[in-house]
Amino acid sequence: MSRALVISGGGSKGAFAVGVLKRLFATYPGLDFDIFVGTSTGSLMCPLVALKEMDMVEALYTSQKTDDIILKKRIGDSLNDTSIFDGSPLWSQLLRNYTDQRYQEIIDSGKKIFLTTVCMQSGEMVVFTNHANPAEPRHYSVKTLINADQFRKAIMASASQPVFMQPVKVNLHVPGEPNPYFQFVDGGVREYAGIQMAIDNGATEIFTILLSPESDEAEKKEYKNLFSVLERTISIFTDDVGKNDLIIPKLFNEGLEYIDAVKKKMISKGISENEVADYFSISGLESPYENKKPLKLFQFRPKAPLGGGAGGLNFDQVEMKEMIAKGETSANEFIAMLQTTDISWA
Amino acid sequence: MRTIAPLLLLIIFSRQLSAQTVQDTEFPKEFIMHLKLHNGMVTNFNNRPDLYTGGLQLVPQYTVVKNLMRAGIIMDGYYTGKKISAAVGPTVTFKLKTLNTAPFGSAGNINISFDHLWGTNKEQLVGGSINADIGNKLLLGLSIHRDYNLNTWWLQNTLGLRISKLKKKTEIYNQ
Repeated sequence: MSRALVISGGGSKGAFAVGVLKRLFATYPGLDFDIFVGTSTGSLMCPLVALKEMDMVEALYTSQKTDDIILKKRIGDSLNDTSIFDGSPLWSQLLRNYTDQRYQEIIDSGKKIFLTTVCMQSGEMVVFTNHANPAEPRHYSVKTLINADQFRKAIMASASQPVFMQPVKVNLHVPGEPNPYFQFVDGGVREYAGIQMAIDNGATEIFTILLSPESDEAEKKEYKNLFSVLERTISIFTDDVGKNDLIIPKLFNEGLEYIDAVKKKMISKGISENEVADYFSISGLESPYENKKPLKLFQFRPKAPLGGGAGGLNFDQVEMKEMIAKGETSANEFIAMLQTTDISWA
Repeated sequence: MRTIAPLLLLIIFSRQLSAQTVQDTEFPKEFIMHLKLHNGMVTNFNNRPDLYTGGLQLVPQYTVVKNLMRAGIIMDGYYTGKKISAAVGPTVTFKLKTLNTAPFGSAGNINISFDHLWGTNKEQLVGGSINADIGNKLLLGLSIHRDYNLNTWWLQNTLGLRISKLKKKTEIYNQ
């Protein structure tokens, strides 16, 4: 069995994920993950979580201010630039926190990390990973990281919300790379949470932390200027991508459970396992369910919007501490609802 | 000058304090040059006809106090009284207000300039202007100067364009 942790995008709202993980690790010290999939803020956090550096993660998500992550600019200057904000403070943090040594520790740990990005030139979803032999998916491409510099750039790209932050040339210094000038941005443009990557790489138990709320309540306010409209548009877009992200794995899992039940019924009626396998093997038609087992999907999600401003780019220390508390509450509710048969990590 | 100095110190101090809490994007440390088209009148506020004046100014400045003050020179070529003249002199500009578009940075600023000009026809102008800088590209202003040598007032409007190139910040992670 392979267990995955998937953390969605959401900027400062990542503090909610910190709260969830803090509570889970405190309750279940034996809980561990083999696969980590991060999108945007999830990418920033996942490698440190893989090393179980939770104190450091919590410190990062409670001590940062907006100008520790991004710098504002004059809007007139942005017209000749690739972004509204300057992401160089975030890059400085990555250099500080993801040193070459820490990258080596991640490699040595054997944990598989997947960082989702979108290529500006091809429009394709590109997932960067330290996994030497990742699954070869049909709907996106995977690139194996070659060194710490590319690792840091992949995290930076995954966190760079297009328009707000600059695209990143992740493969600029990769020897033999055919397109070194291709630019990459936040994977959340195409996929809000990389659940599919966890499934494709053999995860059968997936903990998903989503940072957008469950509720679909209509907002009561009128949007009166360009910036509030832009802010709301981003929020709707993110929620929509998030919903699609969840629907597909759930449908996939229902399909797997159904096929599994049919196979069991066939066997109970006296059909041999080999014959069952033969019935499900159609020549010239690839089965998306082949060698896949039904998943256990555990989902954590805030009940109401967490705040954090447009794209979660407002880093308010007080607000982030509240988000951590909400994450802990969500984990407590999960723990209380959990059946003993669900727990494979105690 | 005695009355202006404490006022300037007060402005500097209060702006420094506010700069610690709010991320200000206007008046960064940089060289900036405006080309200004100005026109208006030279008057004595008496019964004699006012003279038209108009011209072009080149104003290079450098930010000496981040988010607050730029200093530089004005090189002016202008027409008035059927003559083409030139003037030159120092100028300082103080940022009064950043026009924020929270949370997306700033759209411009309101600033005030003080300058002194010596002209080729014995003009000695002291005064200033209040300006709106829009998008770090366009400058709109109203100016008033007193020629204390020839006893005239110069009232003008200005339309300025930033002509210095914006220094593009290096994206270290894309190098």
